[in-house]
Amino acid sequence: MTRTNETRQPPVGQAEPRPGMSRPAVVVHGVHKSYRSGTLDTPVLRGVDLVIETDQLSVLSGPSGSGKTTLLNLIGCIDRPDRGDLTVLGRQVGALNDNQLSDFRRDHIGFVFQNFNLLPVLTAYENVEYPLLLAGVPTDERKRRVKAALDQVGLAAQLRHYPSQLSGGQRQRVAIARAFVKAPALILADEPTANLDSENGAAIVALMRTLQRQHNVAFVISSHDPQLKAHADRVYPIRDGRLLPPEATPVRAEIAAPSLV
Amino acid sequence: MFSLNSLALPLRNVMRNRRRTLVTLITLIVGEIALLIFGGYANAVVDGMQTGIVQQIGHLQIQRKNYFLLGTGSPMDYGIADYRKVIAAVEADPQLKNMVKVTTPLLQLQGIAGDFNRGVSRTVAGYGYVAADQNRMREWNEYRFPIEPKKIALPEGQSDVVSLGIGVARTLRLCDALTVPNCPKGEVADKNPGGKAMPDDIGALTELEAASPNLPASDGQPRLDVLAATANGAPNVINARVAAAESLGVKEIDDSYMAMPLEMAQQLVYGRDTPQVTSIVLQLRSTADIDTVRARLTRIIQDHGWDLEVLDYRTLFPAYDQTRGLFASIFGFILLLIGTIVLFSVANTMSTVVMERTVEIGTLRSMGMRRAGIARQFLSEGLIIGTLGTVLGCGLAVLCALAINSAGFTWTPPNSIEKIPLVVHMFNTPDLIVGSVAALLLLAAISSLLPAYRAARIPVVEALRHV
Repeated sequence: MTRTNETRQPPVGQAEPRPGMSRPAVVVHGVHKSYRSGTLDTPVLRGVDLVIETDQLSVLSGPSGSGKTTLLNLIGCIDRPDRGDLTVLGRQVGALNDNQLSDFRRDHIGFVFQNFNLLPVLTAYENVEYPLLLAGVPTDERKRRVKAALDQVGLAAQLRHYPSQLSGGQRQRVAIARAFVKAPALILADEPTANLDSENGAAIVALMRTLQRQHNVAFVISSHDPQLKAHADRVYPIRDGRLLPPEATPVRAEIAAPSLV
Repeated sequence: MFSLNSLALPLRNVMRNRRRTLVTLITLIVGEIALLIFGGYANAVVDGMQTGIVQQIGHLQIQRKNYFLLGTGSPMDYGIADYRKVIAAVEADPQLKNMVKVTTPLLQLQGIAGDFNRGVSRTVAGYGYVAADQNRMREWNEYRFPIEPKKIALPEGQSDVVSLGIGVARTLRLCDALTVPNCPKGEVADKNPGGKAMPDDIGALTELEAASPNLPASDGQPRLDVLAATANGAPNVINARVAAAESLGVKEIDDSYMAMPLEMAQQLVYGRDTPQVTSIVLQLRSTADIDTVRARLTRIIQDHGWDLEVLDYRTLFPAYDQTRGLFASIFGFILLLIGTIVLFSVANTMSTVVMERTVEIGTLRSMGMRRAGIARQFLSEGLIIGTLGTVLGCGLAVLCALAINSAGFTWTPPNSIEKIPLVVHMFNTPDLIVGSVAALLLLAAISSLLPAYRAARIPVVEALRHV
């Protein structure tokens, strides 16, 4: 990763924690990213600066092709920027090799996908258990955490169900439990409600918000779902690969417990 | 609650597309069966050949040095005079006692057999045997072929009889007397048909021998004159009864074979001189002991300062190794064909699997699985398919082998006129099963390597975007 020589605007949010504040979860500085299609380079991110605080639910908002998923991928350490610096949970991830990045994701980052991405040959229990297996968590501890996670998302009765035996909303709950079960410091969700109907979408949003607060985790979501924006602590609009000033979000003193479908 | 382990996920993935897995498994199963059945058949042929050879010439022979290379043309110059001492030394050796089944002398000679008065004769390869020892040798059946031991036609305990190969019997017009099969009818032995007259001195010698008071009166069995050169180069003739004709399984041998008691052969070759033999034949209880016994024999020979050498049946009968080599090359060719099919079949399956599960690869990688973990997973799936295919193939091949072995099929090998049981020897040595399983497993692993490597190299973002 290289730092650009351009004169930088200060990152959206704050580059350094203020006295008494915790370290930011993510610091993005001058990040550029292009995708090559044949001989043509298509810029997707054009010098993005961003600071995401811990313990907050942040939404990257924008239309299709705006670059929000690309930014989410960079923050999730599953892609590398062409230029710019990226610090995730205090770690300069640009300096990490592929194995180190894999280990970093395994230990610190959870993912929720638009299409749920559950492993079809594994039951709900086993899908949630899998990240703990990768992390080498002992059997007893694993069992306790998997059951607790599935209980939290309201699927204690569907432990043995395969993804094909679950509804869309239930699958996404399993995916959320899978992301939370290893107690990561950062969870990223790419359009988590895009494949759900409005009722299930609302329930999933409420669930994510509740879990985010219970676990005190930094939650970054790419979405243009207004429900999500309404629950967010911060909304970062992106247009044409550039980050716009954050939108104001409704102040929420209390989030009601989700009504589980 | 089922707990995932390293094999659970690959195993379930293998069962995910059952039809495709089944097709790949069938390729492996058929390949494994073909390899094992052909390999077992080749083993049976080679084992059968070894059995036939060992029954006739033993595992090892002690001979005068260079008799094998030079002595067959003049066997009289390469006799073992003190063969009884050699046999006694072998039989007295405590190490050899449990490994050697038969130790017996053999005198080979070249001669002419004929009824000179009827004008029929032919050259013969004579074998002076101890008939009882030869019959014990024919009981050897280490590989348990479903055959009954066949005694040699030379009667035990009689000193004035010979037996002939059926080809010799036909030539000497003894078809009716010896009930030889496949004799052309209407062929009448003319007086000296187209041949030269017997020299007068040989004729006189023959008549003298036939009138010998030492010979018992004829009991209706045909008689023959056997003419050979003595060790001193003088002609010697013995008149003998013909007990029977037998088939040795190879026409060329049947056309020249004549067996006689050792004493008769020694009298024919050495007259009143010290009797000798050309070989001392050793048959072992197990072929596996051959190197140990040979080393021990060599030591005994060295200790006694005898001018002898030890030769094994593979040296004495080179066609054995040639046949083994032939079957090994055919097996190798079949392995190459089957291996190629397995290689492409498994590779095709695994490539399709990787393509279908690209998003899953991205998901696992985003959860923190390293590239090596992805590669290991697909490699495991290839190995599971390989293991299932080869194990099932082995099981079915065993059933096929049992069916073939109990079906009672027979076949006639090349250069043979006797049918032998068609069997499959799969279990005599683990080499065949272990080797074929290992080869196909290795191929399955190799076939999975490239798809697994490609799966591991897919960028996470591309994998997640895959449609």
